[in-house]
Amino acid sequence: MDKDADLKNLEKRAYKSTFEDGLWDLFLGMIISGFGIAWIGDLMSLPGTLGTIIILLPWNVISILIFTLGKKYITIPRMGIVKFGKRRKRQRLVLIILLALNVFFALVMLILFSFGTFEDLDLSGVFFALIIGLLIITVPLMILGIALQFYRLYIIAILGGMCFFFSELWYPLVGSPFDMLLSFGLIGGCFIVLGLIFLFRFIHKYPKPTEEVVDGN
Amino acid sequence: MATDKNDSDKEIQSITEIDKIIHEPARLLIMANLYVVDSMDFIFLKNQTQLTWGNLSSHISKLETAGYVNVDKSYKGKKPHTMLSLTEEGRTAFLNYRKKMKQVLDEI
Repeated sequence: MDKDADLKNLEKRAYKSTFEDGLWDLFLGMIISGFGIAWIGDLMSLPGTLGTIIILLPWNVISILIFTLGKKYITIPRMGIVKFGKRRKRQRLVLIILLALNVFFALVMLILFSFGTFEDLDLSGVFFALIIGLLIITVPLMILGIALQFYRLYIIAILGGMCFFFSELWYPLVGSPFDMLLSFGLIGGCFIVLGLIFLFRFIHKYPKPTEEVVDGN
Repeated sequence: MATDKNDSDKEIQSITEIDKIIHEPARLLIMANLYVVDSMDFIFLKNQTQLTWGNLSSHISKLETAGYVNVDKSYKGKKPHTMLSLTEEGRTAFLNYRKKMKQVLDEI
C-alpha cells in the first residue's frame, strides 16, 4: 500500500509541477483586478454598463492571451509536456459539469435578483455583496482548486470572493472609484505580483533546454 | 536442514528473477515516472528525474530496446519533439518488478 502511495505521490508531484509557473495566479489576479479598473470607463465618459464592458472585455482578452501565450512560449519549452491518465481526465469532466452547474445557478440567482425576489429578505448591502462574491467567485474557484488540486487557488477564491464585500466596506470611507480600486485592484494586484514572483522563479529554475534535450538524442 | 536449503534456493531464485533492466536506479526512476502518466516528453522527464540528458537518453534507448518504452519522435514546427510512454509490456514488467521486489524483501 505504501508503494502505491509513493506512486500516487510521484504522479501528484508531476501534476503539481505544472502550476509552478505562476500563470494561473497572474491570470486570476488580472481578472479580479479588472473589476478594480472598470471605473476608467467613467473617466472616459463611456455610458454605464457599456463602459464597464468596453474596459473589461479587452482587459480579460489580454489576461487570456498572457495565460495561453505564457503556457505556450514560457512553460512548455522549459518544463515540457505531460499527458496524465484516465483519472485526471475524469476529474476534468467532473470539473466541467460542476462549473456548468455553478454558472447555471449564478444565472438563476441573477434572474431572481433582477425580478426583485430578494427584496423581501431585507439583506444589507454588505451582506448581499458577501453572498454574491461567494457565489460567483469563491464557489467556482474553490471547485477549480479542488479539481486541479491547486491549493493556492483557495486563497484566491476566498479573497477574490470577498472583494465585493470589501468594496461595500470601503465605499462610505473613500467613495467611488477608490472602493473598487482598494478592493478588487489591491487584491487582484497582490495575485499579479505573486504570479510574477512564481514566474521569475520558474524561469530561473527551468532554463530553456538545448536542442539536444528537446530532441532526446 | 533440507527445509533451510529449499528456502535458501527459493530466495536465490527470487533474486535472480528480478528484472535487471528495470532494477538499475535511473531506469527504475524513468519507469516509475512514466508508469503514473499516459505520456510525457523528454524535457518533462528530464526535469522530473533530474538526470543529465546524455544519461537519460542512453537509459531510454535501453528501455526502448527492451520493448518497455515507446519513443515517438515528431516535429513541432521546425523543432524535433520526443514523446515517451510505457508500452503494455513495460507496464506489466514494472508491475511484476514491484511484486517480485516485495516478495524478495519479504523473504529476506
